[in-house]
Amino acid sequence: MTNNEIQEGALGGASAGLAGAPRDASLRVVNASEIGAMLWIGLYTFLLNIVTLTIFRFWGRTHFRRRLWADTRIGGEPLEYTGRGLELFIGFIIAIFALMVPTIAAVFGAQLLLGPQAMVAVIIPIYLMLFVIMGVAIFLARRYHLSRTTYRGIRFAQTGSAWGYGFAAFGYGVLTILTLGWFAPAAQIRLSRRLWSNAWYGGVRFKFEDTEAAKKEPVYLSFALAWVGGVLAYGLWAGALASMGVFASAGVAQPDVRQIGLIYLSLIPLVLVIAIFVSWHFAVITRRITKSLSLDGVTFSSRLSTFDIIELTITNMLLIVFTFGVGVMAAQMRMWKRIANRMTLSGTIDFAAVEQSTIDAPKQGEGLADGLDLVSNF
Amino acid sequence: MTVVTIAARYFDGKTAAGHAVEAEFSADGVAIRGATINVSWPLRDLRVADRDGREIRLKSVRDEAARLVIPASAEDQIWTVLPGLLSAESERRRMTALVVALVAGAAAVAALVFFGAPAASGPLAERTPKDLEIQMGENLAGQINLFMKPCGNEDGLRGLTIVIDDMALTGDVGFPIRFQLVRNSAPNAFALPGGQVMATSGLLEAVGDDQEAFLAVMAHELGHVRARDSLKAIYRNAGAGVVLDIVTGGSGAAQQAVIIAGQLNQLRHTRKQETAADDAAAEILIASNLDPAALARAFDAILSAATPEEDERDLPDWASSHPDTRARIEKAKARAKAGGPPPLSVEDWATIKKACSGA
Repeated sequence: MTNNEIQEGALGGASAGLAGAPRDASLRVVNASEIGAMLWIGLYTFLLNIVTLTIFRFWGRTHFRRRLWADTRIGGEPLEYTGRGLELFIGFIIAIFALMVPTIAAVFGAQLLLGPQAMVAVIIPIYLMLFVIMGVAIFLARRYHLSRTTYRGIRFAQTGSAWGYGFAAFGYGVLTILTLGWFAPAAQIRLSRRLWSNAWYGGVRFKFEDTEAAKKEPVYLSFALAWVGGVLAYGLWAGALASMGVFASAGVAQPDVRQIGLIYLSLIPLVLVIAIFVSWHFAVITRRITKSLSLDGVTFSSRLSTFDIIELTITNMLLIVFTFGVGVMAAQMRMWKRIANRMTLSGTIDFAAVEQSTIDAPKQGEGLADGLDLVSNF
Repeated sequence: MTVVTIAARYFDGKTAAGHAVEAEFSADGVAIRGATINVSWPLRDLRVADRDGREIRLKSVRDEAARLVIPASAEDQIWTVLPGLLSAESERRRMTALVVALVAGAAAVAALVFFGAPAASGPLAERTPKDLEIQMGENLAGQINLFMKPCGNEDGLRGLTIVIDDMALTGDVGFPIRFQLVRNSAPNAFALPGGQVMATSGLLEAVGDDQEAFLAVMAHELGHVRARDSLKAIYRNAGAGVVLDIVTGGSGAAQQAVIIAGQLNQLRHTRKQETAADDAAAEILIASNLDPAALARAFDAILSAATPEEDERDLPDWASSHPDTRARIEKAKARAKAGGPPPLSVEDWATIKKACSGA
């Protein structure tokens, strides 16, 4: 289906197509974002960030989301992002004074006023706590996101405990380290379950279930390839650099500029090779999570392919490099666009029976994630 | 009164059901009429929630959830009764006001970071109780000793310690000096807060038999101690670096540009401190009856000991933490003034040179 057809479907000439009933009963998911619009938002955000000491980023991110949401239509109706830049900014200021300043003061004070042992005894618990708070921050950001997303005039919402999510994410992180990474896919599915089974569209709750289709996805087989491929690529990379004598002088004196440049340059093929090994797993886990979702009578599915991910990884990397980072938003849009356009919703939902959410929308929510540098544009 | 009627969709914000409606625009606002819908939004409450090339989504400030969706092509028709309504003009004005406000706010933060924090660091350091600074220095020295072990043989160093203490008294540095020789191959010396002075085994090696060159470096560090430069640097970094880091969040190209600007500003201050410490070194050396030109010999020795990559000769001045070394050498040479004999005997100096050779 081309864009023109969708547009006709949505506007339907004079008035006939503007009927109140859903005109696209198939609940087709279509994202029609254009790269030029996103590059423009990226460009002015980049330029205004410089003259505002990056404070404009909250508004730039809001503009990006508003465009991306509005360009994403389900059954002909767009999503709408109702968040505001000022909310993000205020949330960020609150997070700075509630968490970042006390933490920095504690670490700084401990370094200056305590001996080495006492300092370590103070700083290590602070850092461990920060890892838990990272999970809390991700949860709060997500709750904010959903509460600022509406569809057909009805809000989404996230319930559940932010601290519960933070401790779970921390525990899974420890398990992932202890298992040399092998717990990571299970952790990702568990955390997704925790979030999605507490997500709401109005008064209707999402379900996250291990459906037959979801269970068929080769989560661990694809992870094994990513793991083995990643370790091999890393080993080859380190071996190649070592054989060229790059690390030999590292312990003795500072490595010279050419060697540092060589290491950075060699990171590009390394990251690319690892990204290709990971792409199968990325596609699989995205499909696994999507296929676990349902809302009332609607089940979710995804045809996202490994090739989609490889193609986007390579082209997005080029896009970002050749625009000196201005294209990050455009690259994120392209990834979301592909994920959305590969998504299918089947079944039906009685929109008249979906009532407005009664869950209070938080006033802020992303400040903590921003302060901890965890925030993504979407 | 003229009324323009547009076929539209309406979501009431109570359920997700869509309603086919007729939106009647007039100078008063819009009346929304459908089979089960009869709502009026007065002009003053009417806002554009979102718009793209296809549709304009209207809302009322009294009902944030409800949406009236009209085709973008209807804009011209609506303008016949409500000139300028829905135009992007007010949006543009809000954006301009926002950017002006943010630039002003950023300028205030920048002034605080680049001028306020450095300006406050001096008075703040002067008002810090010396006991507190001494304690900070001890703690920092303890942390540095985790990476740079002190050379043992305290007895062997006693002669040198006494000479440095004498220089500190002569120069009136205001702190008891705690001198440590630490194991590290790079020729270097540094002053921590509260009179902690460290010199590396690499520096001792670089100066060889020229004990006056070594003492000249110590005089330079004593200058830092007297000016409480380490404490000032800590306050500057706390004030500027942390604020900057927090404000910018720390990722992305624009953020990096701002952070680098902040770091260059820090370097401007350290270069000033270094020049002042060189001046203080000359004064302390003369007062201690030593030749200030010994500092030039120390720089020479450090330069020839360092590999080309290690020293900062090739960096432009604004990117260096220290002023240009060759200029410092010339300046120190110009201050040459005959002094007395070296304070330590050849035998004592030989013992000191061995202080770091043990296990």
